[in-house]
Amino acid sequence: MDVSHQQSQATQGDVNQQYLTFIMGPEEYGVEILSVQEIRGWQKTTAIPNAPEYVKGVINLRGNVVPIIDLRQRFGLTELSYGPTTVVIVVKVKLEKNSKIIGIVVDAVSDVIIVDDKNLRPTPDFGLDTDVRFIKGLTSLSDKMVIILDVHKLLGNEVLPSAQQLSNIIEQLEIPSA
Amino acid sequence: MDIDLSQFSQVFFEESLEGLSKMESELLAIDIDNFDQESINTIFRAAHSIKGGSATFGFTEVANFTHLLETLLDEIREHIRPMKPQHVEMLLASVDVIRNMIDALMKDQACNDPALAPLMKQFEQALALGSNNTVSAKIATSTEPQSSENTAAPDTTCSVTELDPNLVLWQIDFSAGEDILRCGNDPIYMFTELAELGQLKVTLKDIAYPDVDEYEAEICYLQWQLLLLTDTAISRIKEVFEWVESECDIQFNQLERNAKNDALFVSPFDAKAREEANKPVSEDTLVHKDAPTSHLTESQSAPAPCDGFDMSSALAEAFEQQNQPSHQASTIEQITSKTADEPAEQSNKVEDNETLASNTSVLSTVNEQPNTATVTRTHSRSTDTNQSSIRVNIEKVDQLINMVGELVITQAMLGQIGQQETINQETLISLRLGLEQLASHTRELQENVMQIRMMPISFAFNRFPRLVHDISLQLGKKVDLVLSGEETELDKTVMEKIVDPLVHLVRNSLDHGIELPEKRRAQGKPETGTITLNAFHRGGNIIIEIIDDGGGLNTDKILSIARKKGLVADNEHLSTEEIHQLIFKPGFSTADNVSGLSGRGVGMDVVKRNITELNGDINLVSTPDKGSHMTIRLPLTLAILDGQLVRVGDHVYVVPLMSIHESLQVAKRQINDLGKDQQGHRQEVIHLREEFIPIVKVFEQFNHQADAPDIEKGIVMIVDCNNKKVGLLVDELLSQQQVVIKNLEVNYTKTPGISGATILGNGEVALIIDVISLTHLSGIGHHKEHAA
Repeated sequence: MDVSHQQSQATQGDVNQQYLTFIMGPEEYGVEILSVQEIRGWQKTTAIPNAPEYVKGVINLRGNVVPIIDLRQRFGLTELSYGPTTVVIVVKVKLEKNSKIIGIVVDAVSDVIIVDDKNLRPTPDFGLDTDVRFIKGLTSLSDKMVIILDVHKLLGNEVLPSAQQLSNIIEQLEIPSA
Repeated sequence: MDIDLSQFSQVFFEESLEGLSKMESELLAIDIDNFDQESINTIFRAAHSIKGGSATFGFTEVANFTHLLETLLDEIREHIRPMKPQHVEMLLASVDVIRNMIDALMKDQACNDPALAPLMKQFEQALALGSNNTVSAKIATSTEPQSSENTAAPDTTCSVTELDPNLVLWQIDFSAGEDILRCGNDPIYMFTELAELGQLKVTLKDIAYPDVDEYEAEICYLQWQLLLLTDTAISRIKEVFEWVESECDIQFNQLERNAKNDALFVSPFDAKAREEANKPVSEDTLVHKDAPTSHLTESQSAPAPCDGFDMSSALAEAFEQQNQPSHQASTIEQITSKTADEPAEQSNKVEDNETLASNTSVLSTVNEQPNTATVTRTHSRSTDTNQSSIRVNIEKVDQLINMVGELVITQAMLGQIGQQETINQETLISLRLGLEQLASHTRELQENVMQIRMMPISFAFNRFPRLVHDISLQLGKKVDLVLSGEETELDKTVMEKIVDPLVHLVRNSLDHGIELPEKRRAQGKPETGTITLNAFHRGGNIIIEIIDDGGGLNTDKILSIARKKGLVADNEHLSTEEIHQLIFKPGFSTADNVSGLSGRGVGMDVVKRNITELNGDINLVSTPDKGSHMTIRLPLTLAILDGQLVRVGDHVYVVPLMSIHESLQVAKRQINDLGKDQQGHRQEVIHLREEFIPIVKVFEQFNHQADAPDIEKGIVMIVDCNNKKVGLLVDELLSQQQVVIKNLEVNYTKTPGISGATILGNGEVALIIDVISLTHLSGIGHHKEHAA
């Protein structure tokens, strides 16, 4: 990623999108920067009874009650203990009628990248039984692959693949990049 | 000049709806034979402001329709037309239609109320009928363009045939400066003012006008010759032009009074005009007259007999082209543009034997609101129609400002203490004092802010007179509605949610409760039944009572239906009170005939559910042949709750204080074990003062680790769950405090057992327990329902 390259892409206009990338396990993921509200450190949450395991609870975000979701657990990765470097990305998820503010716990925030829509490769087909709409596409940065997530579908959608299915998908994604 | 009017349209909607409710309540209060002039005035004013507002915002449909209403009301007001019962019904129906129109506008939908067209026709017929010609002449609608022909302006009302010889005739040659409109001056206003000084003839001079192509809308190209017959001094006349003197060319000449000149003021039409003069002309149905065709031609060629208040024929022509009953939405630019174009088209136009009326209110609106209808519409489309707003008494706002002032002072005082290097006994005392003040101010502020959300319950009650009026008519029953405690205030959100249940209950009372007059007479009751709606505050609650003196609930019938529907087992015996509770069961209806009003079996259960959702409850007491008495209890506000903080393991929860009966430690001997349920949870009841109370172990339901899994080691809170007692097992009672309720569903989903969240003093979130849903979660409520 050199700077001049970034700028030349930026001048091309509307097809360019900025993405915030973050690291989780071996993979790098990206989310639309416009949906990101803020990035904050981990803080103690209030557990919600009978919630799925990946819902860590709710926090008080300046008077708003915001749920925190561990994306690691959501993606079926092994759980990490939270430390001072654990990062919560607060995103605004647009739904049909309204929008929700949700915090996602990731390992670390990495970079802001600009990706031309042309360079966004479509998600490989995993067969009909798995819904992969939450992945907007794949892009490669130098020799690394970034999975661009669609947060609106990922967090807004109630019927998502199970954590196990997700972890399989992530594993399979490795193949095209290799 | 482009002002975005759409930002105000929300205010217009609110005001209109308010106006409609006012109209409705006044209409219902009217006694046909002996009505109060003031109430007609009130209705008229409401209709008038809706008309004015809708015209301003370009809602022509509403304006046109309201105009008809207003015309009728005006005639009634002026005693030209007697008030008849069908008028009241028509007006009531039109209130509904206008309300639908406004609803549609708020939602940005096209309004196509099927009732509109027939109702409009009805109005037009009513207006055309039964009165003399002068009345029908007043109706300025597109369907009767001719009718307005003879209407005159007030200044022609004096006797014109015998012109006062003392009057002086002035000829004023007035060439408006090109920029006159841009400066916000309008010749129309000047002419109107002149017309008030005496008799005025306005003639548009026949000069060279620019071609249509070169023509600029904002430039005034016009020149007029004005003839004014007046006794006013010239200085006063000049005053009218004071503001435009510098930019316009104005010449004043005194003309000789002779027969020829006088003849200008005595046109054949003046005779008619004089007849009309006796007819009351309302302030805004005043229609100004346009010259009939022949005169139009004359007026162009030479200063010829023209009529009393001829603005300019071109202006009227402009109105005519629009060919709409009212033209409030047109802009002054449009009018002037037409005016300037006009001479070119004049030859064709004169053939049109059409005259047109418009009213003076049009003229004023036009100039003040130079936005066209289309502009307003497009803007309003982008505004969020879901936004609701509150109209707040200015006094309440002032109180808040005061309070904030106090808060600032306290803050300054505390800040001063904080700056001090050392803290000694003295500063400590003032620190405490400051904190105390802060606490009291915060509380006061909080109460006052809550006050803003409070609205008198009359907002909900006001619809009932109409409802009762309509339904009792439909059912052939005689019913009096008594409202009391209308000034009782409650939260706007609660109000919005309670309206529908209330409507349901009142309808039920009308339909099932109050008997037909014959039956009532047979029972020795007055023919007219009474339904009372009463509201008052008790504790932190508002109580709403619905009382009727009808037949009461028929317990035998309820029971037999419940048995038939399988809601109650055949061998089961129920107390009267329990039978009454059956009507709140889903799918239950006792009505013999399913009517449009009630009886489809939805209703009471929905009522009950809605009220429970608001943290309230409903009680019913019924005496056969005496009537029934329903009591609804609701919390004053949904935003703040008195809560008991409890600890379950590491987790802190809030339990609404309102629902707690008592909290106690239970001895082992009081506990009865009922075995395990499907989930493997031990079901236990405690024996407390002759009662068996089921226990819900909160830690079990929420999957937490508790300090004390055994009932005797923890604390049992006896809470109220749908009028049944349930014990919640918690580890520890913490403090009691007021908590601000935050919605958990905004960013998350609905969670069983939890009604919301709040933020504690330390900034952490605590969840609020929903007792009813938690009991359901545990399965206890479920069993109870079977038992009932």
